[in-house]
Amino acid sequence: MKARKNVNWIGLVSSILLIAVIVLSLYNPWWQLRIGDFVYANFSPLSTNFSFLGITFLIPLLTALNVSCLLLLSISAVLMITYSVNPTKEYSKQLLCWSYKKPIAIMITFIVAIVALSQLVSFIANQYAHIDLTLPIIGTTVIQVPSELLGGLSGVQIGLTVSGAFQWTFYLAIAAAALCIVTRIRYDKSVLMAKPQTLTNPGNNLGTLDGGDLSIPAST
Amino acid sequence: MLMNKLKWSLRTITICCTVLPLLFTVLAYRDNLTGLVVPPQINAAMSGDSQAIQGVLPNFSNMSNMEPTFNDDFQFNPSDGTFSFSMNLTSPLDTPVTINSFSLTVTDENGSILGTVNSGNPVPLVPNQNSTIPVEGTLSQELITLLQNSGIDLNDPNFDPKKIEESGLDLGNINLTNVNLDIGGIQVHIDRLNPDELFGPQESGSAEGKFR
Repeated sequence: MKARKNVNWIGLVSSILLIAVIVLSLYNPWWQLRIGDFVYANFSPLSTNFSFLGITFLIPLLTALNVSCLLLLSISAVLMITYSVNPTKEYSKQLLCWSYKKPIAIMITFIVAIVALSQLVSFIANQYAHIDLTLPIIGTTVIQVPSELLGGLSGVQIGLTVSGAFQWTFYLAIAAAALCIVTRIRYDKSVLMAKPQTLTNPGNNLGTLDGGDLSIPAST
Repeated sequence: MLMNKLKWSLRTITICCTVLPLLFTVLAYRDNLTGLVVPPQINAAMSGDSQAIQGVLPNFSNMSNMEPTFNDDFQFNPSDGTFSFSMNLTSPLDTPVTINSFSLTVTDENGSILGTVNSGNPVPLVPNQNSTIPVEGTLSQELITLLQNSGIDLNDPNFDPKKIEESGLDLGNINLTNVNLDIGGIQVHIDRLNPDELFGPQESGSAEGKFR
């Protein structure tokens, strides 16, 4: 009887989703900050840029960090695929344990960085520019330009609409990271189920699970 | 043994992926470390490169040519004093901008309200293309009488709002107050705007239509 290939489908789906996140995040930010229609700041672990009246600016240090994340996520996706098609190999657990952590770590780092950025900008604006500013992570706020900065113009007030929002790629990345966690959680269970067959039929390479005795033999 | 090698290989991958891009970037900017956190265009502009400065700043050269043209669609309802018209404006910017709202109140020197002017729905201005901006508002009977005394017939089907500017009407006693403008999320509020600043100073000889 031909053995059915043992594939971790959740792992495979999460790695495909991870590849989709990588490709889409190159062009779509995870979080966007807008100042009116004139200034855009697009943030994602894979691409960060700023736009002022259609002119795009890149910060080399952030670009380097983006390249780091791109490499880590790409390798993570490849290793996750390798694990998913060979989930019972001896090396699989190490591949899984390495690859599932990367999207989660990048996601957590990204969120912490956005919160830190918001706090830092608010602090600097309050402390040094005397602008009562709370940079919104989600939502819209209006920042009043201090009258001192308007050069003594009386009876004139200028407000800037500032809005921040997580974009759909961010939620896609959350889904991919969640699936990576599910893959890891289900790993132990699947190995436990597969082990008896390996022992009774080592040549089968943990082939099929259907109808087998799932109890662990006393010899183990 | 193999597992150990794999473990160390994965750790090496993590370190290399994290450190190498940063290392290469730092090496590339080792002579100018501020360049690490400042965009190259701004860095070049700060060094005095005039071409770089032009590249950083948007092109405002068309801004001086930005003058609205009034369409021939002025409508006035004498019964309630409401009016509407539209004007065309070509955005000089290279990026789309929306005129979200515009409103002002016309008052006399005593603060009595003579009328209101406001824009209709938000109007997206497409770069370098003509966009139509609808304007509507109400005029008080007092202002209608003043305009009629100055030879401006709002019921004239050929009435052009630009005629107010050309009529020689003394706008000295008329104030534009509570001016609110929201263009592309930049909100400007002006308590009081002198019409002379908008239409230019009027000649003293044209006081026949002076509002009293």
